[in-house]
Amino acid sequence: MIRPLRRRHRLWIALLSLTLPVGVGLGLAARPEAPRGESRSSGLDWTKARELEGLDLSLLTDPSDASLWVRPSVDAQRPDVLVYLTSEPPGLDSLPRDAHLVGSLAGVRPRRLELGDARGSTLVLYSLGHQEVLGSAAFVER
Amino acid sequence: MGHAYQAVGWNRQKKIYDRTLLLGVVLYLAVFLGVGFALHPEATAETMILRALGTAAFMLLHVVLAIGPLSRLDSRFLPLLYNRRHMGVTMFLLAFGHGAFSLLQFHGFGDVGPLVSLLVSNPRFDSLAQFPFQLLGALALFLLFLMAATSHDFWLTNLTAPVWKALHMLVYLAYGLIVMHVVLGVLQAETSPLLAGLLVLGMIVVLGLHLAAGWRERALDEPLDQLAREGFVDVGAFEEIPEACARVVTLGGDRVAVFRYGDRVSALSNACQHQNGPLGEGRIIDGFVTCPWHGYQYKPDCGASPEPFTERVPTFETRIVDGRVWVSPVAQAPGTYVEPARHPGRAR
Repeated sequence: MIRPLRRRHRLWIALLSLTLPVGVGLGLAARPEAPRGESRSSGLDWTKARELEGLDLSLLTDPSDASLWVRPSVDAQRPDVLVYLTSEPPGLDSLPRDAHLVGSLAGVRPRRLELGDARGSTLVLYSLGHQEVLGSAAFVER
Repeated sequence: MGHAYQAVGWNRQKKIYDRTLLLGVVLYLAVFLGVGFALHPEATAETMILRALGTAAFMLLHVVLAIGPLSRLDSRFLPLLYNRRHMGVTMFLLAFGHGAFSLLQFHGFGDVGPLVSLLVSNPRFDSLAQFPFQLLGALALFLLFLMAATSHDFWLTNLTAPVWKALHMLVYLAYGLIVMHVVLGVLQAETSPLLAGLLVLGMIVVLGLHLAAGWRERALDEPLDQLAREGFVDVGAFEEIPEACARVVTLGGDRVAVFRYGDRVSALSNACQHQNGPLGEGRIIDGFVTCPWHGYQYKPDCGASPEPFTERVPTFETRIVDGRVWVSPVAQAPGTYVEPARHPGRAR
């Protein structure tokens, strides 16, 4: 390489060497830890939630800035269950038009789904493959 | 060389290189999917394929980035550099597959288009744990596409080597974006210390190799101008330059390759016209200075490629006084003939 390119190359490497470890460190430190001792469905008032045995859903924080922890305890998870939020009341038979996707329940690893301000909203578990509402829950103020 | 373009100038070495590369990729994907399904039988095929392609592309990116500094530190790695271009394009194709599967799986079934969904579905720029990491991957994929699409001598020639090289240095920005894509994406959910450890180890290897190679190269850039005498610079003893090889020095701000062949000495710009490869690390083969990267050749006394090729590099005047080689720091126009300096004690 000619000298200006070598200089630019060194700048890129210096920049990456300074910023990337900081970014990686902050990113790893920001990883949420799963809450311990929460009871199944705490903070949620389920209207129906069938075919979800082995799935532990718990509300982490206040509904004004809610996080839903998903902690499967068995392997036999349905791969097509999606989580939605809607303003419609619980007891739904179909997915409302205003429902927006929050995440997926597939897999066996614990994970956190960010719900944001969920006050007045209903959580909906929906099977994409069967086009069917599996359960819905209102948030319980604590 | 560059008087006509072919999609790929195939030769035996390139075929061996590409077959080995393809075999390695196929083996990796097969092992990943086999072990993955054995350990996680509940996982969907889409998720497994998505992860297999993503990890394959990420690992190959590490290899691509490590080859350059490894070749600077040890010439035994030069064969890996020979067809690195195909490795880069392969890496892009794997990353593209990962991106396409992700777009389909996570954004393909909503009431807005997948690309719109990708861009607007997650506005949590204020949260590291919930950061829209997919956008980082998408931006990196766009940069990798620019590089893969211009990975051809046609673009190298028409963009000129400095512009082409500057464009392809965006790979470092892409690498940074991809590392953060992984950290803020999959590593937020996959909390195994092994995965985080592997990512940090890969980063240390890539950045460490570049820093080590850069430190070594820095010594070569120390200006020798203080040795100037009568406009020439003393670049060392004739005997110190191995036969048919060169000593690389910095003159007038850039590198010059001073070749010794028989009783003669000629000096050329160290940057090959093709990809700015280090001519001074090549040898004189069949009377021509031969670039170690891709075999481009130049006559040592005029810096011109043999007919019908048209590449030319700048030349420099040389002198031999008392067994020491002196070189003028003033570059002659590319392809200009300069009489080689002769060592009187070595005349044949």
